[in-house]
Amino acid sequence: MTVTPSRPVEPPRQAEPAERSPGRKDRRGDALVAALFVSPAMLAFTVFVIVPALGGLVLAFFEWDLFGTPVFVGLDNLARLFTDPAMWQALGVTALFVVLGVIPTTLVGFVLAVVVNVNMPGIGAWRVLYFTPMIASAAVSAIIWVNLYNGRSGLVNQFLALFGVDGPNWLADPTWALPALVLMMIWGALPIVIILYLAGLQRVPEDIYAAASLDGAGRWRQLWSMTWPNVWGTTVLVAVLQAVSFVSGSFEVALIMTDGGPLGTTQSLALYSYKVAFTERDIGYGSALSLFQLALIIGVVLLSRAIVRFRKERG
Amino acid sequence: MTSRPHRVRRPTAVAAALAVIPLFAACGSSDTAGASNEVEGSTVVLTTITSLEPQFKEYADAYMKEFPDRTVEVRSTTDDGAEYAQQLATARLSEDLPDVFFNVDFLADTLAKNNVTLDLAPGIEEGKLGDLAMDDFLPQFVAQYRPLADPEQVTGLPVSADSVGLYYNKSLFEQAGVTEYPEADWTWEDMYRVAEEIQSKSDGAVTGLAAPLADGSAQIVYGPVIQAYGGYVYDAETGKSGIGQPEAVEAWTTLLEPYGTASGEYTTTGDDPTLQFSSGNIAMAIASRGAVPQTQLALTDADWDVQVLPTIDGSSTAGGGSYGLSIAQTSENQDAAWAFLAWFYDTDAGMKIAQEVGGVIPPTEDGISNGTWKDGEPPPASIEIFGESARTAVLLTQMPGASASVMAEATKKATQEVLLEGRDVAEAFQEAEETVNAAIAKETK
Repeated sequence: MTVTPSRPVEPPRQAEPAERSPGRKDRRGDALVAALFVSPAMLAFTVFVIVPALGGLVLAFFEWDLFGTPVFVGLDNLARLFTDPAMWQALGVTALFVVLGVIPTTLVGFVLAVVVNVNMPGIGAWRVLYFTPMIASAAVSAIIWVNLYNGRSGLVNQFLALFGVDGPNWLADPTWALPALVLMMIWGALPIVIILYLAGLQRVPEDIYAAASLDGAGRWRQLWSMTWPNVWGTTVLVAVLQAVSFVSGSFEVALIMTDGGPLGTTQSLALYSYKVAFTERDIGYGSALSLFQLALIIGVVLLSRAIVRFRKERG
Repeated sequence: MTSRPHRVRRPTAVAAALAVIPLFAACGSSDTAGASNEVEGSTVVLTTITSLEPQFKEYADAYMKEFPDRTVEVRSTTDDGAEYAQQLATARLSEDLPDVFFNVDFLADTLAKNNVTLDLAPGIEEGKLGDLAMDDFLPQFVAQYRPLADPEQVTGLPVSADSVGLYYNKSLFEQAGVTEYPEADWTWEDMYRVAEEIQSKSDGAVTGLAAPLADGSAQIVYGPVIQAYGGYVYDAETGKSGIGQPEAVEAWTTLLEPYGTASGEYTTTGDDPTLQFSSGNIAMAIASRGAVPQTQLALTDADWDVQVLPTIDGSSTAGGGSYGLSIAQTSENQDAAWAFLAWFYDTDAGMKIAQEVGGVIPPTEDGISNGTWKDGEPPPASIEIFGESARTAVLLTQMPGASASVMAEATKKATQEVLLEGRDVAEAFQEAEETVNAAIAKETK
């Protein structure tokens, strides 16, 4: 079977010459209109995201139980971060969520996008199947997966039993709980990754495949030597988005499916900070943990930008 | 170039300051005194948890039908305790606390300590609750709303005298070929023995007993068991927890025994379907009276009933608890709020509807003895056991601040260490006790 990309080949558009170059007055007018359009969203973003985030930042320097009067404690909460063993465990769990989650999600998402990006009978049904996880909310998905993972009655273990494998009690097993959650999160993340890769694949010029075929490159060769490098930008975007998603998304999944257990093996930084803030009602330290997590996410984003810049510079 | 960072930083700092000024301005203030107003033509805002919203809407409708000039607006947003606390705090910061609101044991002391809840004792003494006096309520349920720092105050009134019972599914007993049903004189050994028999005879297809300790944080179960062994969860006089003391360790050993033999394997969340009696796959389960309506809906084809909880050394092991209603100190409608509570707690008015609609057991001696709560269609045929249980129940222990939540996490961790890592019971729970005592010390410093 010949697998051909589904996108109709379009000649690259030529930039039309500008009728006249815009003057300073026009540019200022455009900027004003743009600012008017953007301002409602910026205002909402400032009021509902920036201001509370700044409030959270300031709270990291206070001791507060939600109801009483906050007491300024200086850097105590930040210093406590580094002497708190539960924080280090949560940090390790977060790193595992990212490492175990992002790489498979990116690779599997890429492969599935390539599979979906073909013209063949019944492909529409496959595409719908791939996108179904997007329909269910994370909470609903988590409850479904709790039942699938049930040690005795779950479908996963019943399936394994067909091959004579005695499956573990997934969500209560300190070794298997984290991989079980990661698998569920990969399943939930794939649709958006596939969509991003599909968009990336649409931008790969068709003629390079024709040229490669003439040179005798097979399908696998084309995939890894031409398609993969050409969607590198998408891969970086996917990796960054998924890293952030696995850092923050692990919160609700772990809260519902394992409550961070067993023995803290699925308690990510996000879940730990939530528990500290709202279960133990230690808002100050919870804010410090969130601040630390924010710093980590910013670090990941800056690192990815540096990688992209480095690759660009190397050509 | 040099001036640019300053232009950015200054607004940022100002914004940060602005962000927290209103936040802190309202914190801990108790000077926003509430007020009384006219009852007729009033609107009372009542906040509860989502799962209770339908019931409370029915109570409000009945009240407004009886008093057409008065309005009760019922609101709810969440079922999660932590989120509920957060929303109350937010409402307080924005000076938008409801007039009447759902209160619960683990939150009551914090709300009282921070002047959120109104002391109801003087009002009840003045007759604001109609004919009802404080003595009419079951004292142990009212005690859950007495602040630790000032036990003379009462900052909430219990709505239902809930206690736990042993639910059993006769159909599953029969399916497993076991005919020995729970009796009032059963001990915990009897319960485990029969559960194990059911599980083994059904080849594991039926869970004999939903694990009593659940995920390790079921204080409503472990509290009374520790007490039955002569121990204590929290001693208000010394301000210490005793969950790692030798008597408590005996209790934990008993509670950790059935996993995998008489019960299912350990699960990390208490919501796991293998712990729910209403799943129809569990022969016995310790659950609160509040589970009756849900079980009636779920087990329509099964023959099931309830029995009092088995004893340990002749002591009852029934736990209990309640949620309550409080009035905000800042409420501008306190008279109207009192009028609603007076109607709600009247055995012939609100409590009558609450028994019919919500299966509530009135938290008064008269309500337990003469209420209509036990007149419903069986199953369960033996629903009256909850009346006796309520009188003798060991209630959830009121602890300072968030230390009860810390205890829930600590006992859960210790349970996991014992069951999943094989750690020694005494060691694990002694460490849990240290964690809890540290949290108590922090709350009371």
